[in-house]
Amino acid sequence: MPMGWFRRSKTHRQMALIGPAVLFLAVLMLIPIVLMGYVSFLERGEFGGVRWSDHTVDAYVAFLFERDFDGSLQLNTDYLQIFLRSFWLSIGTTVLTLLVGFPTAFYMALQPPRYRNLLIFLVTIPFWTNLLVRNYAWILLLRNGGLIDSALAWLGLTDAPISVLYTPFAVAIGLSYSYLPFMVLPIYASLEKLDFRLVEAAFDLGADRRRALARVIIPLAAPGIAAGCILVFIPSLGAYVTPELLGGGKSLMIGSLIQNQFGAARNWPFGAALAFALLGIVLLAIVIYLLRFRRSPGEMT
Amino acid sequence: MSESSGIAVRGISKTFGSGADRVQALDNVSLDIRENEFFTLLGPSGCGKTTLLRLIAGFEQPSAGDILLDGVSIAHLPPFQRPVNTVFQSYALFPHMTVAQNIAFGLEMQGMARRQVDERVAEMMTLVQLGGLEARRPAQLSGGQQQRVALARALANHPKVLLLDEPLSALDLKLRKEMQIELKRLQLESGITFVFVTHDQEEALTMSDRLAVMSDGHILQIGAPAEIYEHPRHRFVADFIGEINLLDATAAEPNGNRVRYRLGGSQTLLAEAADAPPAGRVSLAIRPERASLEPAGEEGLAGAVESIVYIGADTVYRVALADGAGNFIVRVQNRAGARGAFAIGDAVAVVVPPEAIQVLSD
Ligand SMILES: Nc1ncnc2c1ncn2[C@@H]1O[C@H](COP(=O)(O)OP(=O)(O)OP(=O)(O)O)[C@@H](O)[C@H]1O
Ligand SMILES: [Mg+2]
Repeated sequence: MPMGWFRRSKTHRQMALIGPAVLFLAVLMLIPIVLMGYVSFLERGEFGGVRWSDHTVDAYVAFLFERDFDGSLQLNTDYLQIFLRSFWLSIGTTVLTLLVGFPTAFYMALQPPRYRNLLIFLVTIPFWTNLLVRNYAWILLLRNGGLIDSALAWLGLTDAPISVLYTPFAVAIGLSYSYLPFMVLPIYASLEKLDFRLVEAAFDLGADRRRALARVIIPLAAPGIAAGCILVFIPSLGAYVTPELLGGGKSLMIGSLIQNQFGAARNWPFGAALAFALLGIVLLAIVIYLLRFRRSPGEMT
Repeated sequence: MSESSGIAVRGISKTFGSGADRVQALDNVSLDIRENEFFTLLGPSGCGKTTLLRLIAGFEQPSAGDILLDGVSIAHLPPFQRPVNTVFQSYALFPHMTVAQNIAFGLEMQGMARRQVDERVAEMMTLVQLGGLEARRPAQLSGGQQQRVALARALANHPKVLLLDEPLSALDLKLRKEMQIELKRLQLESGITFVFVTHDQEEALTMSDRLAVMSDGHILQIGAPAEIYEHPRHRFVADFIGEINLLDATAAEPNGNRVRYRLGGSQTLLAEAADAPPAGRVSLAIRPERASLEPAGEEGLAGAVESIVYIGADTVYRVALADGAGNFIVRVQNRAGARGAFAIGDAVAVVVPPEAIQVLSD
């Protein structure tokens, strides 16, 4: 049958097209993840590494409990607190990024089309510089006696050093800067599609600017806002370099904690278990997003 | 005409862009729209109808001139402070809200209490006959239903003026006819001034109390439908509204209270003389249904039948006038028992009563 042949050849062609991507994901994503999952259920080796033959759930128990001298389990919230701290820091970073990103995206969407591509390019500039360079630049900006501190003092706005560097706030600023494009671009994409006549209709019906924003523009941009928040929140949660440099390593974050387990602490199974706990949280965030914003508002049927 | 009630547009001009891109969308437009009137802006695409409506709504600022509502200037007010609501050509329903939420939006913006809002929404749903669709989203409605929601949403606030920008253009013919009747009913029941935009001349004639014919940023003529149809004052208006014969002519000699106009060769037509009959080169405008066909030899324009089109209630004859005076369309009502009196090629006389001729200066 010609049709059957066509169909079969079509599926063959599709397989050939997606094959490389599937292979890539399998080799470079799935295998390491499965390996990590396996490692998280093994005994730690004396000098790092793992004992491949001994299986245990100790790593997961150790996340919440501590063994007393007599071997009984005591609740130990140290690690949970590190998770919570990272969680709040990521929330803070996401809010900060949203506060800066939404007006930016809104401004971009209102520009004539020929300027928009230039603006998109400008917004992605943080991506073009090395992560370390960016963070050291922020150290120079934020430190006492640095650019911002001396400018504020010179203007007479402050009379003591600002002491922002090596605080969670500095980390949030650094992360916001790095992840700003992740926030701006999805919001811009949803605002750009927004039919401006709807805003006129809101004005026409008596809504002032603020209420048109709250009742029409933001709800219609909600899928973009949610996507942007997820895209900022997730990498913030596991961020390593920025908290180390701008946070001064004073308060431990998830990223540093995991790095520690594979490094100095030589506890691979525990590091792997922590990474899996993080992955679980991230997946949960994505599932919530999908359930809430699976369909864009105009397309509900 | 009362100066203080209704809308007064005073010398409004609007230009877009600058330099080579400059567009003069409206040029010194003035008009008065009375309270409770169904007023229509009629004109071809790009003549400035939407621009005029957007100026009244407040979405655009005039380059010159003023707009008064009940004698008070509203030109400086933002759209949300004007007692004017709009039914947009695209409906512009909020896609993330249900039908009921769409209709409630304007009421909530006024700060009306929840229970009153619900009552008014229910009232509006009945008015536009959409009962049962409260919880649907705009995307789940047909074009006609969306149109009704847009109407209900704009009417819910009881505006002084309702602006409608080609609200029926997206509907099919049958629905369009239904909605025309519905709109007229709503306007009579609500007592709200309707300013209606269309480029459909039939729609304009059947629905309006008065209409303004626009062309290229100007208003050419304002009047009741019958006045515009029977007595167009511009060649453009005559041509745009309905079918019409336009004949080039020159004024010959006055003849009592009538004037004889010379077409080509020996063909002449006698027309009623207006107060100041235009002299020199003129156009004679004659509706096809106001002329009649007689056998050759009668007093009238001589010619030969070129084509015959039967269209149910009427038959339309196209007559080639003698002496190169052009073509003439005659529309004859088909009466019971009457047979097609003329055939193609027959020599005929087109008889035009003097009062059926509108003399237009070029
Ligand atoms: N925002 C704008 N910028 C530049 N030119 C504009 C703008 N809006 C309208 N115009 C121009 O002004 C003129 C009148 O436009 P308008 O939309 O009022 O026409 P319209 O009578 O409503 O036509 P249609 O029947 O096609 O809707 C047109 O030449 C149009 O190109
Ligand atoms: Mg228009």
